[in-house]
Amino acid sequence: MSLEDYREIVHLCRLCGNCRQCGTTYLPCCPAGERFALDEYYSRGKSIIAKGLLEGRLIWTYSIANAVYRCTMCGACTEQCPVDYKDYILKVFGALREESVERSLVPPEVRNFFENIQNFGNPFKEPRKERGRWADGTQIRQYEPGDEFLYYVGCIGSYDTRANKIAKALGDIFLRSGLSFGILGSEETCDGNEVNMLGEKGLFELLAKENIKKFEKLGANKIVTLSPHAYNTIKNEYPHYGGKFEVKHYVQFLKEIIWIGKINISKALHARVTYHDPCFLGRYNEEYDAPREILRSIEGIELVEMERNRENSFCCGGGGANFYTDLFGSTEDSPARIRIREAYSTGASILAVACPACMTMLEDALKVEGFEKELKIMDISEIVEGVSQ
Amino acid sequence: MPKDRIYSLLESIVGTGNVSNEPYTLECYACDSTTNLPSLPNYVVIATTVEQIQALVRLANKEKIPIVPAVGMSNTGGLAIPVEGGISLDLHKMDKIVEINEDIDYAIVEPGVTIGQLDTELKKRGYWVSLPVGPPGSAGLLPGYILHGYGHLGGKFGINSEQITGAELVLPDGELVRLGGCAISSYWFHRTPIPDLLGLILGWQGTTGIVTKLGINIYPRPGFKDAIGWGAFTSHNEPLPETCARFLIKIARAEVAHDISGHSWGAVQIGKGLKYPLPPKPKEDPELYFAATIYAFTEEELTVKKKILENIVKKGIDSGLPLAYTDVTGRIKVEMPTKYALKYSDHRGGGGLDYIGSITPVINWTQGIKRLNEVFDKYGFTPYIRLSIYRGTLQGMMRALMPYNRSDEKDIEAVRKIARDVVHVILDCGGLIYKAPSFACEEMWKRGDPNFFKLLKEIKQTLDPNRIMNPGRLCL
Repeated sequence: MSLEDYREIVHLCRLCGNCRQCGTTYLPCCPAGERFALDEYYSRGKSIIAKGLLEGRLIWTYSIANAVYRCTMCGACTEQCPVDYKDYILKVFGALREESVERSLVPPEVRNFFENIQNFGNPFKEPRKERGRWADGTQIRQYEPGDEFLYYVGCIGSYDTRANKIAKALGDIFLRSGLSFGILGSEETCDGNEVNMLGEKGLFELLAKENIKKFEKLGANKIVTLSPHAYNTIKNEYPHYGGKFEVKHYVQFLKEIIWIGKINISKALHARVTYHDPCFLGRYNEEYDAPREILRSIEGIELVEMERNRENSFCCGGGGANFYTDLFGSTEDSPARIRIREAYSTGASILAVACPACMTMLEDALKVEGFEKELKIMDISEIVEGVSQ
Repeated sequence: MPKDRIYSLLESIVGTGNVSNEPYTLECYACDSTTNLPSLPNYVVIATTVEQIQALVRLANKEKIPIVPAVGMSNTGGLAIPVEGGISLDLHKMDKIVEINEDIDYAIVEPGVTIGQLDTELKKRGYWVSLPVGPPGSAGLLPGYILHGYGHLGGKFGINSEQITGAELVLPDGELVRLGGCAISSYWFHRTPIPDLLGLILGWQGTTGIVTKLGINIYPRPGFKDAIGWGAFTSHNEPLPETCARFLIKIARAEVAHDISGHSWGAVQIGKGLKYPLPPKPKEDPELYFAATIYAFTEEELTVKKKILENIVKKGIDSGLPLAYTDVTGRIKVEMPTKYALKYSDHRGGGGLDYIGSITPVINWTQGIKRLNEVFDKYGFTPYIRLSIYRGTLQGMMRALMPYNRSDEKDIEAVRKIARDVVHVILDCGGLIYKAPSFACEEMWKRGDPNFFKLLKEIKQTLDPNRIMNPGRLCL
């Protein structure tokens, strides 16, 4: 929908500023606001900008688009908004971005992201044929019709060195389960979640239709994703293009196969662990319990919560493709560094994540903050791989 | 936007990224949720230290540029709208709780500390303060205190500004001064017995300087809560007969409740989320809902307090007053701070919420509420009236609230008219407007002692000869 479609909506914002803090801890909730401070980076300000554009008081400029894109689309503001506007906040953000795209005003980093996805099927300009390289030397094979599920890895899991390890760890668990599964390897392409979040609807439609066609051709009705971003888009956006699949994020699937005994947790892990909720698993899809249940099922783990958790979790700053575009940069106020300090303050020795984008963002921040000796970041798949048979 | 000379000077004080003159930034600081006319600043500046504020004020003075502080952007009453342009000074990053003194029971906060932030910290320590009722927890705490706002414990502790123990102020010339006992002592425990210069900031709407630290009383937090509720089963034309107003005075004089508040029928329906237009009021519903909220440290104390209030209410009912008990289960469950009040702005399709609040003798609520109903009726708006009695006195907050649709010019115009009419009603009832918009100040000064306004102007002229501090407010 275009911004014009929200002409009768944007005034619903109460201008109360409640989008700035989470309503339980009263700690800041908006990663963009924390980083850039001016009101235009909060939802309140964006509603004023949208209204100003619609009513002709403001005219579109590159600077406005720049402000519009300095948001991770984490949805924290929607959790805090007390009025009817809450259901429209992310839609208005999306419409502002769509219009930025249509007016060719997107920041260069975002434009590069689109071009790379279009040309390479991934944002990293990596060759398509290398997409399955991470699985070389493992027993993980290409998906075949009749397999019980498709393991959809996504761009970061396929190309990022650190995320490759997570992809392998999860693949290893799946192999141990004895279930039949496969990956798409070089046939896999970007799921498009970030393209959609960045407002390139045309490119997103192409990606969605291409993926849907591919999944349907292979008969891959059941899909397990490594990334919450892919999970979100396949679950919530692909149905708009006719793609209806039984899709799970891996923590949901892991919880099930642990429960039915396909995976046997046989070792203890004596550690204090805190868990970071990924936005596209938590706020977007309300899955807060599965990862915690998995962690609690491991003997020796003391699960402690950060002050901001579940629906009030604080984004790592990687959402909305910022893990690639890096529009937030790295300063003391960058979201990942704030989040690392919060994790560190729990006294945990392990920060558990369930998203390769979060891993990338938080590991970088961990190094800058200098907590590497005291705090280790592990994906839940890596933790389970280490304690299971 | 090109960086002009002033921009560069501002940037040299607060650093790159903390100044903007982009039109879209300025737009964000030009308005609030009320019908006060928007007005753009020329610059927006984020300050993070007292020294930066001093330097900014000195620059503003040298260049004769207005400077208008803002905190949580939940502003109402147009008080942070830069009506003469200049610098919007965003202080929300100055959010440290400087001290919580558990030996002398006070807290010192920076201007960016929010209502919820302080309450969360105090709760951990077994303390609380009287929290502003209308704003969300994300709103700044300081403005509600220095502007004589009402708190949820007003029945026990009085108006919020009475809880202030000291302040640190950047004067309009950039000098830093402490007000209250902290000017002499290292403790921020009280504003007396020295001359009480806190009067130079309280109610001045940011026209005399920028408060950079505020000391307030904190109190042990009781663990038990209860409430009793009653309705006034009266008529729209005579919602609160004098007998019922005198009954409220009896409740207040008992000095048992931490809060004694009332809402008009319409206000309660709006609070339930009902949209405009409301259905006719059922005959069995009261015109006004009242509740007395009590807190206690032990169950026994709670029981005794409740019994005292129940006896007063029972006597009132038995004497033939048109009163009956109402359910207050919901009220007991509500935890402060609450977002409850913000829902009101959805009533007429969204976004806007204007209000005129006053401190008015309770005995004059009889006349006041009747006339407020007439004003709302005249413009086809749901009468939305809120009442609260302050500690130990027989006066309290009488407030008219006007939810409106921010995209509907007719709504906006009607609310502006209602606001002006409400000002007259309040002043006719012997009341005083708090957080008064300029048009309300104009009416107050017109009706009041001319030497009062003269003195205000002389003080302002002495402190702020270049008229840089939030000009246009208080008609100064």
